[in-house]
Amino acid sequence: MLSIVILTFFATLVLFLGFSKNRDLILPVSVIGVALAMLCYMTQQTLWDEWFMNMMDVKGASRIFSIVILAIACCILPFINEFRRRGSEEMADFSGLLIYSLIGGIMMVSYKDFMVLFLGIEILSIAMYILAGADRRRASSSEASLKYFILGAFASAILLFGIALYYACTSSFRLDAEILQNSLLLNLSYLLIFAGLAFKIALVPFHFWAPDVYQGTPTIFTATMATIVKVSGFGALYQFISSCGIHMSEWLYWLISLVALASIVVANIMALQQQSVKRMLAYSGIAQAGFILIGFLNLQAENTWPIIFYLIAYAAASLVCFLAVHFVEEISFNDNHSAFKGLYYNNPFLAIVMSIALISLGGGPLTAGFMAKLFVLNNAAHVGNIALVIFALIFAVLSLYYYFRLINQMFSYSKDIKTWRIEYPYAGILAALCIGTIIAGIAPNLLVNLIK
Amino acid sequence: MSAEGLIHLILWPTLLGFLINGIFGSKLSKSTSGFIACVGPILGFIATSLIYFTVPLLEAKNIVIYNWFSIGLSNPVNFSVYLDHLTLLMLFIITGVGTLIHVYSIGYMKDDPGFSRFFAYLNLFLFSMILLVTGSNLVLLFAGWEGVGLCSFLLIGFWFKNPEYNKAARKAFVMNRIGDLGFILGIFLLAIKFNSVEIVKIQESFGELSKNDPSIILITLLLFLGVCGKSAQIPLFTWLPDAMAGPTPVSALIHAATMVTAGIYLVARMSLLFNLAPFTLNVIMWTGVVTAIVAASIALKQNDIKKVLAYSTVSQLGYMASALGVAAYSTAIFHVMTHAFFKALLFLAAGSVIHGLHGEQDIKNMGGLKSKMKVTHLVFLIGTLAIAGCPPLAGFFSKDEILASVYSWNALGFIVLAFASVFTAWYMLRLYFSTFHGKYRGDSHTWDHAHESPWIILFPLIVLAFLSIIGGFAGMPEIISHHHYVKDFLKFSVVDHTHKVSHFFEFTLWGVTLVVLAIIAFLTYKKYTTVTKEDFEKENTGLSGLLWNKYYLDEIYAAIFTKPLRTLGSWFKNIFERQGVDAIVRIPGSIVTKASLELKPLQSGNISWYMISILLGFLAFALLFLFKF
Repeated sequence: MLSIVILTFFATLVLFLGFSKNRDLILPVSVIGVALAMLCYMTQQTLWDEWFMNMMDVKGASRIFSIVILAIACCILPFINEFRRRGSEEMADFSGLLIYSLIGGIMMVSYKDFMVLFLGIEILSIAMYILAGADRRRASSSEASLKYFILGAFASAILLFGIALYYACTSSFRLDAEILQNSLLLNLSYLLIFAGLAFKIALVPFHFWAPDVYQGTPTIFTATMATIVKVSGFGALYQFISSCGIHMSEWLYWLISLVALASIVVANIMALQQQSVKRMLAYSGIAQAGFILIGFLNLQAENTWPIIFYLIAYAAASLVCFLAVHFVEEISFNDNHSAFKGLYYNNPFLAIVMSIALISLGGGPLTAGFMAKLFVLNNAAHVGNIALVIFALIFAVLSLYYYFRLINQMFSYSKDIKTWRIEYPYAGILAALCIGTIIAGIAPNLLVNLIK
Repeated sequence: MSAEGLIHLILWPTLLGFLINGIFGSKLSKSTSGFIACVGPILGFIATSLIYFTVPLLEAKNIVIYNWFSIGLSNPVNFSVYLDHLTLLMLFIITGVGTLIHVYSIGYMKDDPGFSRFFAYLNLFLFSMILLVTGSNLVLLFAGWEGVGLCSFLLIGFWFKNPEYNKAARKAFVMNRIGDLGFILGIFLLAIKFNSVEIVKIQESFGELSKNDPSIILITLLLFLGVCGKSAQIPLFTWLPDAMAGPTPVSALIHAATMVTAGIYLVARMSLLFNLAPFTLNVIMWTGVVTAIVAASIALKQNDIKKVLAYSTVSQLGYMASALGVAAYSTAIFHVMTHAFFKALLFLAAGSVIHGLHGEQDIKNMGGLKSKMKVTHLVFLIGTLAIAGCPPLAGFFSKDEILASVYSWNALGFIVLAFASVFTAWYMLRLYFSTFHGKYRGDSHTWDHAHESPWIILFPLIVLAFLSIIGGFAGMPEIISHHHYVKDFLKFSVVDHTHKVSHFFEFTLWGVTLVVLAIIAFLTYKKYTTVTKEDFEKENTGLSGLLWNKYYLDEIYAAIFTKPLRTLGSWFKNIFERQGVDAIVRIPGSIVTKASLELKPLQSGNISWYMISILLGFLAFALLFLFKF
């Protein structure tokens, strides 16, 4: 629990640093804070754990989920410096809020008590509502923020309703509460909680907010939403299903299959005709979430690693994509397909890293995305759900169309060439993510052993 | 150091060299990028020597570098190295000859604008080749196999602005694909039958199989199809002569010394498997014998210096295959080694001639170069004598051993091979005399500028010439010495099934060899020191014309395979695809696109509609639960 204390301290410290004129300190301080928190998990620090009365658990999968969340944050934080170039004064606020949101994320992936889950979701979400509206000059940013807030509140209500029913059935908020009888009411509460979490992850049919909000949000925070929020949501779902799933085995199996299938089918079809790359990536994220959900079909302790592998592969690739989109937006002021035309001739580095990331998202061989899909589908095939595997594969092939359409656009020749480059630290982060993607595609067992 | 550590020194530097030269090549100076490229093979050679001298390899080592993946088979597929004497010998050849050819290339390619690209490809090739001979399972071996094929394709078409060269590269690629199809099918069948792709595991499970088991015959024949493609055996050999379009060091390294012997290595590596299929062994022997004689006869009438050497390579590969076919695996590997020395030498010396004559390759326009290029002349002579089988040079011992092994198995095959070696002596001496002796037949301008190559080119030649002289002593026959180093070295790796031949036969063979060589030398000396340009042109009539046109094999292949396939292809393209497949494929495509457009209005941006759909979705799940459970 030390990590939560560290994050709170550093987030507050960063907010106070905002008072000073010198903003050079903000980035190092926030990165150090996140890195320290990560170190706590790496070294399996158990200091002050008893303060939380066993409402949280930081062992096993929760620990890995937390490390993934913090690692993603480390990659995103440096990019907040971009706001400084625009002359925005709120850099400290953004960094601070991002770190606060991590506390929510960690609570979501390690709760043992639904109170903590609800607190975590709210901490994460409220920070995200504000970050979605970070660009106050653009009306679309404010619109995204408001939309996210209203729909998020709606989803929180659903979740809270589910938790209340759970309490009514078991007179406890704890995940491991004794179930007296498997009543209709209890199952309804499970369904409501599942829906609430599916909203955060953006799974069909609870996904409607995602494309609109992703598009309006400043792209750096879209990257945060697509990665940190999704990983936290899946972490919460993992905790929920691994301890409550036993009570609802068979229909849960159907529920997961249906939601996964719906997400893959609907999102891939919707993604085909999008002109805005951010919207396309939003739908792609929904489809990827469907794939990850397939991993929940065979959820025993030794089978957690395909889910986490997929999450890492997805997070790395979509981080690269969104951050690349951010830089293109800076140049051409929109995120349409046409803005990417001839990117290879203007900024070859960005075009290449983004192509690698898109190929990984599409599941191209020699990238982490391929191995991730292979592991997850192999898992589903083991529990005998061949039909789902076949459908997933068909739509994975379909998804290649819109990924390669963008790659094709980037490499097609455009007449007005004005070369530009991105600064080295940013390029270093993007390159590292891409190299990681390729290494995990060639030697997946390196990463798998790390997760195990 | 342990073998586990040294193996990394063999594997990775070449890959690193490829990455550095491939990514930053354009920014590096020529000397740096040449230096970086040479580091890989030199380190590899040193590490191989260290393993040889310090690690007692009484039994094979299996070094797992990491778990690659584990799906479908009972054992995981590892990225692991299989280290035994056969691997070690191949590593010596690859890194040793590789080093020399890298050094040579620095001088040979120094004016080429694609200098760093060339070295990047060359390093990638070495990496793939090392992977091929060290891989402990067939998947890894296949990865290396495809890697060398890719590099061969890239390097044949290195001067990609010439469409002829691109055609040659494509031809090599396609012919190799035919072979690879057989190879990969063979791997699949092996994986199904033995539930593993590890070479050791497969060889362990042979016990229960009987000889000439149909499935084993099928598998070995499929693997041999792969060998035919890679090692240029009939009917898939026509790509190799065309492959000479690439720069000369490439011809020496890839298309003579290393890559084309990968097929021979594969059969030797799987020798236990092939021993179970005498039928396949017979097929291999006859394919080898026919390849040897056909290619040697074509070489008799070729006028391009590199083409002669190319056909000679095909013919020598035929010798190796026939040795494999009589289960004399260590003999085949011995010939791989000596052939690597003298054929690399001949190609590099030919390259030196071409370099000195500013790109001239036709022997019609050569002659009398002895006075201009003293060192090149000398090393070429050594190479010629070595390949022609003059005692005691390298080629004599290895070829003699092949002839003796084949004789003990099948007399007819022996006679054909003996004729092929007469042809070999003839075309090599013809090449030698018409290049270096007599009068110069080209234009005087080139003659005036003809020059000996610089030392960076000559140095590798001298080393290789030295190896061509002494290389044969590693495997002297029983009548001279009781110590056959190569056979002893390989006895844990391959299982030979050879019969002994009488001493009388050996001696007769040697005597006849010497006499025939002397006669051929005399005849070719008479004929080709006084030959004129017109004589070369007159040669291409009658039977000679048949040879000059390579038995019209290219034309026959074109008529039998290419044309019908083209016609079929254009029918498929214009009629079947446009009106059949395309129309069908477009239906789901248009449905999906339509659906995408139709569904778009759902995402209206209207929050109340979003909330309602969330509720509707939730209700649907709730109803599903109520009715189903």
